[in-house]
Amino acid sequence: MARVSLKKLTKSYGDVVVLDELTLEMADREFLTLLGPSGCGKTTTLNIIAGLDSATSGHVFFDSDDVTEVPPERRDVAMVFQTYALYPHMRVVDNIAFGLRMRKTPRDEIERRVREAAKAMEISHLLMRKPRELSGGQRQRVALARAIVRDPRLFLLDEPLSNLDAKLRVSMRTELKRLHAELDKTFVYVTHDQAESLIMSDRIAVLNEGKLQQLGTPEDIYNQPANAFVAGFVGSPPMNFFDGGLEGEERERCRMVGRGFTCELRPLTSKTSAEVRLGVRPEDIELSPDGEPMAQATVVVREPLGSDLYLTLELNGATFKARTRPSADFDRGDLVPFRFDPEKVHLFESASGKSLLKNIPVIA
Amino acid sequence: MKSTIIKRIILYVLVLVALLYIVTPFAWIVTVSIMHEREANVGHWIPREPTGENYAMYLAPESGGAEVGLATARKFPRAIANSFIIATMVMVINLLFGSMAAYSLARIRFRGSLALMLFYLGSRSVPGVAIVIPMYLVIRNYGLLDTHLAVILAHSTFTLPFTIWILKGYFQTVPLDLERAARTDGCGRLGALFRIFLPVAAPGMIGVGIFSFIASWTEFLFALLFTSTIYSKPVTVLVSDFTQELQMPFTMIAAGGVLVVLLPIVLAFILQRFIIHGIGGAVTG
Repeated sequence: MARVSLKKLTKSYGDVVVLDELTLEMADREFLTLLGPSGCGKTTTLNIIAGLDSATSGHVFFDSDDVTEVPPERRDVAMVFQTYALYPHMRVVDNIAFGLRMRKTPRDEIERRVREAAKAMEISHLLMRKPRELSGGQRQRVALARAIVRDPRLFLLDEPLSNLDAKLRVSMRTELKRLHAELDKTFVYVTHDQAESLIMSDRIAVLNEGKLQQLGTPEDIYNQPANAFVAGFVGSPPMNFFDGGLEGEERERCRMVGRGFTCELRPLTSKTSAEVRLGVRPEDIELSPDGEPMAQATVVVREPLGSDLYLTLELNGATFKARTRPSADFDRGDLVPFRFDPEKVHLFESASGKSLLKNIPVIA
Repeated sequence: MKSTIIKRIILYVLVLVALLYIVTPFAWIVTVSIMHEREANVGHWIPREPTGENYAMYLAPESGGAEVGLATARKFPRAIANSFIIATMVMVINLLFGSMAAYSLARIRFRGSLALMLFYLGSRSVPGVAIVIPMYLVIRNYGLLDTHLAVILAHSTFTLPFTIWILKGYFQTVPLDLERAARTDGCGRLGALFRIFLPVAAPGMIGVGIFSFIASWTEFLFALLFTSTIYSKPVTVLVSDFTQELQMPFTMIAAGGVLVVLLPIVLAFILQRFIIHGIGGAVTG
């Protein structure tokens, strides 16, 4: 059992605030991802949970125990590092057994558990090797075996896949997900790769500049971003943004007026006279729509991806990306009528980045 | 293809030149050490009648042989012991204090750490001759003249800055994540230091350990001034005592020289892997 609660965690180095009153609950047996760009505080958060770093203020709870002052060796967490951090002077078997030896586990039990962990990670044949004789993928498996062998209450993973090549990374994602299901433990996962976070997580906490931007399921994060940062960070290719203003008397029936187009909107949560930003994902743009098009844009770049075709379009000096069928017959220079799906557009206040459309939980 | 062969040839010629430059003086000392005194004065390269007499003087002085230098040669075992005590203590001090200082400088960010490093470096740019007199006065005032401790302290002052620089560089190549992994695996701070950090940093430690040992073993100037009797005199100083004899026995000085460098050379050969990895690794890494 391990529920992790972070209460108003703040970490600062002099004037630089790395974490700003972060409050976050991780449910027992959950796969929670801390997602954000580099420098957002996600690794610092993980280190504070592990006890490797201390918070300037705030508290960390495991279940109902306050572990803020507990040193890492007594927190019973396992951590997997981006660099794997295998002990170079020890053989694989000793690397895996190290944590058990430190905890004075009986010798025959160590042997049995190391064998099981090695088998689970399919590295039984590598036990007598030194880390330097292993490939990146094999090192990764040893690092995971070293974590699972201890049967800790909590797994912390710090960008464990980012040093692997693209193909291996994809297969390890699946493997980690399977591992989480089998072990049935709480996983806290740190990554800057939004695709990875969407694929693997039960819930995602998006961080930026030391602040929690949004906490939700991958579907929530993708479909109902709480602010312009989350909207722009999650999704590939990223969401298109258009600057403009609002038009209309009532909150329920407004239109967004951009340069060269007008877009109908769902009811707003609040009305503003300030500048706004419209956000549309590439897949929510209909090209040559059945109904009335919003405007016409020129095809600048064609990017066929096999399963999809991405077009970069230009409208009054602004460019945006749209996804369409690979068989669609568009060429460079073509003038294409388009429309945004009004049910799927997002609207943000330009200055604060806050979402303005209804039915979207605003957290930050 | 042709150009790589030419490059190779040039490379080998350069290596050969460098090798000759380093080895020739030593080779000459070795050949002189197995000559008779009169042949050495002629300046032959290859001895016509090789002899082990000069070595016998050191290793078995009672067996007789040449008269010149016998009294000095008798003190040889004691001088070797003095050198060994001094060099070993210098090595211990370097490893103990050097590693602590280097670990702090490598792992903790604090105000003035760069200034401190530059100060260490700067202290090495002061020639020994410039500080040997003030140092002599300090040593004399504390009543430490003609003791091992005097030489040990003097040698530590100029080996420690180097040790700290090399070890700091080496320690920084040891990933911080290793210690962090050890902590989450159940080690305390000291456990992580002794079980993970030091074993991983061992090549660097052995490298600077050997380096400081050899530096102390071969040092002459400070040892000459701070020691006067065989109770503290190291072997480098003892060999120079031959110059005080009426006749300077070149062959015996040469044999003494060979015996003095024998230990560092053997050490360097046995531990060359660590010296190259430890000292070379830190500079390139």
